[in-house]
Amino acid sequence: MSMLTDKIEVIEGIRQRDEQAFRLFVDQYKDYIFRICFSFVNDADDAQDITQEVFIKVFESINTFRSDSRMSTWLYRIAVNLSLNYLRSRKKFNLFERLEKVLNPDSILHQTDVNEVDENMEDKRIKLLYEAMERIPEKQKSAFIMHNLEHLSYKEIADVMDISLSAVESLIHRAKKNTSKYIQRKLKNKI
Amino acid sequence: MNCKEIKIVLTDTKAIQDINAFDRIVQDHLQQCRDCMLYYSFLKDTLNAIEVRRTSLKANDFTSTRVSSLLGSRYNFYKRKRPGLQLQPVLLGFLIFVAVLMGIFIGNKDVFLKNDKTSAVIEENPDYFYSAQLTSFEENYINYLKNEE
Repeated sequence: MSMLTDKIEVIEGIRQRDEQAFRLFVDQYKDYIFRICFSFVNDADDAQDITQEVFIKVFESINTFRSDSRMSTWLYRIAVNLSLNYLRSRKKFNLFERLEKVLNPDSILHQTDVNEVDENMEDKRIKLLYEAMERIPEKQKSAFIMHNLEHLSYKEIADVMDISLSAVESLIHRAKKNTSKYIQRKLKNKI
Repeated sequence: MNCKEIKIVLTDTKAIQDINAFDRIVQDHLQQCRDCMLYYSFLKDTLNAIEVRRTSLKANDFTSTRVSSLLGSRYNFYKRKRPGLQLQPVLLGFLIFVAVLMGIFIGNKDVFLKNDKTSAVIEENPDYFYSAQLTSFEENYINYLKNEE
């Protein structure tokens, strides 16, 4: 049986709500999805949670998937959207956390700072890069991560984001400009 | 090209792994500018570290079980294969109905508390047991011994 027939059978199985087919599908794509989510959120536990959500979304919307389109692109789009949703909610939580710190300095939430002291150099660097990415608009961030961390071509990014090639080029250029500006400023402050 | 433009060019992982991949102008600039070299090293090390982490990490082995269980609480995977499951609430309702009927039946005193062997004296005198004089074990034993003698 060819891979293509396998794939069609698995998708048909999910449509029929066959648990075995769905489990097979999850096992096949779980690492792929997990890595995409990790690139966006930079936290293994959060990436795991989002991965699970991605598969639930796949199960719920399998009927909207057209068999002639690429499964990986469709999955990629869902993973990116859910990761961005998560980052949006985390941003709101961080705002609340900062407010909590100001209003109640003795709060438990404030104690999370203790962990930051133990961070090594590598963690600090990665954190700085993600801080820089957090400050750029969402579309620029998505394009930047897909290009620089996921190593997707401009064509693939255009397919996932459903925009033109020139728009991808422009987004990546602006993302590079904004990210480098922030990192440069931070590095200068440390010297 | 000034430092600002050089840094924008450097912010590209595909090229950053190999310094020779950049244009000659960028390479020459990096040799002269400490600031840009620092930026280049930072970015290269950081992206390498992220890449190492990304490739070493894997999704949880129980992802499919977890997702199935999450979905199981929202949807019924076996809906089409086991229609008998849909009868469960009906069966439960029937059992509750039977239990209620049994309760009514058992609760009826006329059915169970009437004993054919109850003597007419006791039935006529409801205080029979309360009026009976109770004797202690010792007294009973003494009476027994007396009778034996």
